[in-house]
Amino acid sequence: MELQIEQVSKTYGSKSALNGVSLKLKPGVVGLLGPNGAGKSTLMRMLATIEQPTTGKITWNGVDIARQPQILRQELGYLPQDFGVYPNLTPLEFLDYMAAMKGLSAKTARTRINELLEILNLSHDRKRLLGGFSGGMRQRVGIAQSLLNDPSLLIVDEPTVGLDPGERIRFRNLLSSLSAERIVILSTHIVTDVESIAPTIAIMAKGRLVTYAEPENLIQSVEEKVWNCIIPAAALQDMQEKYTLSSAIQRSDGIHARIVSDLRPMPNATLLPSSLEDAYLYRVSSLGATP
Amino acid sequence: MSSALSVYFHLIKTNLIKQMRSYSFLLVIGISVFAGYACVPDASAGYEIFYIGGVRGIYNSAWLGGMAAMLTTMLLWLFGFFMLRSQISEDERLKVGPLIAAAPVRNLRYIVSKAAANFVVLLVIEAVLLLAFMAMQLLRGEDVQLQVGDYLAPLLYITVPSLFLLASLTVLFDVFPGFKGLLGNLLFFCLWIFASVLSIAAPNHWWDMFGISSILKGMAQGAAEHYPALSSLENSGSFGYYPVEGQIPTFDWQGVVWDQQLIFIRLVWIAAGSAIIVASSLLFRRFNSSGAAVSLHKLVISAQEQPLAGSSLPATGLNGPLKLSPAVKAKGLRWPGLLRSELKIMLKGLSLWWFLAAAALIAGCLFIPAEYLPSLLPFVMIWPIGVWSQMGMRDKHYFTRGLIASSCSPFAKWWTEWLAGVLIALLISSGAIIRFMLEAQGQAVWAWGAGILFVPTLALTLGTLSGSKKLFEVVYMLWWYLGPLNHIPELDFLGISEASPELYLGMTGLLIVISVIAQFFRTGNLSIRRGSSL
Repeated sequence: MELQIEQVSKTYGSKSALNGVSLKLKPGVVGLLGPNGAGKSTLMRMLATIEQPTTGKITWNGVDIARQPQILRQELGYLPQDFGVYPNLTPLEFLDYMAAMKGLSAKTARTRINELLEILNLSHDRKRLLGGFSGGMRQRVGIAQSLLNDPSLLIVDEPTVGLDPGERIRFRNLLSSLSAERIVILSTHIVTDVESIAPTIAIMAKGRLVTYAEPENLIQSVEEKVWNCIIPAAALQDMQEKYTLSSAIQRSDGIHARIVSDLRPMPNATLLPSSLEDAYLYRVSSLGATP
Repeated sequence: MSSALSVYFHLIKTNLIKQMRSYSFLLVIGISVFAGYACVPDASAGYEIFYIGGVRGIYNSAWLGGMAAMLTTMLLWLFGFFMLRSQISEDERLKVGPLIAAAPVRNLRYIVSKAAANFVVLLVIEAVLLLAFMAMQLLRGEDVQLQVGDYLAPLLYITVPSLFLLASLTVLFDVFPGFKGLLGNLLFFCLWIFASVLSIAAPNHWWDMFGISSILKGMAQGAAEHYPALSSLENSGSFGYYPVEGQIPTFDWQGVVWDQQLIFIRLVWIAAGSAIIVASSLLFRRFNSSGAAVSLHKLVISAQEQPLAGSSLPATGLNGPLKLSPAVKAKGLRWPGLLRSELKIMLKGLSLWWFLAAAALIAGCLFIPAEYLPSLLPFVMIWPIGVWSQMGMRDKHYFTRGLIASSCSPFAKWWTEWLAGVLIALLISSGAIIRFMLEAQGQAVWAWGAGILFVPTLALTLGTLSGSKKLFEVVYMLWWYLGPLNHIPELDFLGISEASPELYLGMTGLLIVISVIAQFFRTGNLSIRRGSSL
């Protein structure tokens, strides 16, 4: 099981959305991190066979998915960032429809739909119309449809947007439990979403792949580059303009600014242990992108 | 500029920009320019579009100004309405509704801005057509003296009040409970037919909603004065495609004398339009769906959620690998399953009454006396219009395109949807077909069969191209009204009056090609089966 992205670029008219991205993915969770507009969703849509690359190639087990998308669709589960449902259908009916789209036999579909509704805590609402569902519940219906065909490649694009903190944690646990024997691509701009579950992380910015590494290596790469500076409130804006600011906390002695920088930003700055968020900010800002 | 006017200006400007950047607007502008060319044929072109006993006025500013006012009023009332009728619903569908509802803008101001923007859009279309007519006057050269006043007077007295009334109806039909969908479309279509008949045949100007009777009668009277043989046709005329042999006799017509009563009547219709706008603002629920009748649209945006059992993902039980039954996948596409699902989703939400009426139509075709059958047959193929109009647009309307496109070949999905539409046409026609077969009317079966293929293909193609139900609904209603119901032979896709199955099979093929090309440009891929590509 292998997904290979080879020098993939995508342009819309004269605007370049993706520029020469290459990646080779094996089973497990891959966290795809990047600021808004980094090209994550464009890449996800191409991986989901909805769009084709302008140049480059994406292969699934050696097969070009632009030429033979149906081969991947048989094994694909996709949860887009923003999707709709048919409001006059129940979850049962909607999933039945999606199962038919995915080519599942009626018997298999019914069994898996029941199991998924149970697992996703929707079985009590199986006969209610989707139009009355909350955002979180609709998201779970989206998750259910993505798992209907037991996908070998599961793509989830910004799945935790709109979920409350508790539900976000539970969703991450669910993704963890799904990661065995399949490739899971989790696209997000929230670092904590990938930190706990993704053994490898790809960072994108400005349509490019900035880095593809394990979290430990990323964190290690910014060791001795994370500083704590205590500054007056008036100096905060100046610091923001000069350095990459990871966080700023108001305290009685001034603002404790967490700064990621190769050089000591102030004489009294002290080193802090680095985090994945620091590494992400460092990598993204090094490309001139706004994190 | 006062603050209220400034607010109005910005609201109207934004709505106007939104409209003018749409493809439908560009399409209408293109059609207007073409109409300007086609509606002013050369004297030897062999056709005319306004029939008053086989003569016409010299192409001077008065004649063309009057023609422009009549044509745009009648046509814009239909196509303009369907183009602009969902501006408020669109705010709801695009989820801008809650933002507007929470803003301090008053209902009246919001509704007035919507109506005003629609009115300005209609005026822009009218202006384009008027310019096209002016250019044609110079091009044809029968009278090269451009009298701008002769163009502006009908615009001011006829078109402006008429389009204002239309703009008010676009917002009324968008806020009146139950009028947002197919029912409203059907009602408006009936209103358009009724208003058209009244404009041509009304005993006085008071009933003339369009305001065109004064021009129509003026032109007919002018013709009768110059050609006394036409005096029996006084006050009548009709629009359409009329083939003419040889040169068309012409006469000089200097326009309508605008008297005070005529102008007063037009002001009354403007007042009626204003009253409709005020009534619409009172009916406007500010995107609040609570307490209203349940409709598909309202369900989409419903913020009033009842207590639901499964409020979140389970906290436990997902710590180990997820265990599910194996997913047995078919090797190729599972057509029967796809078709069954497509049919279910198309018929979902229809009431028992719909099915009972459909059954009555099928039975009626079987058992009704032969002399009444031709009157019943057209209604068989208008009944499922709401089912067919969903075809091709559902994924865009409900934002499910990403889910569907990543699950199934768009080509396979297209054919499944097409097949489901044809099956529904076949089912509703079953009574008629069985009867034709029992009576050994092979030609009727052949012609009706072509219609069965043509209608769903038209629905699917227009739905795919426009992403909306409206285009199919307006085109099909007009086609059905003129063809099967009023027996215009070339438009009778069911062959009730005159069969042309080859024409409609050819058009079906053409529509399929157009739709497939549109799909290709949208997705860039049309592969249908494992390992194949198209």
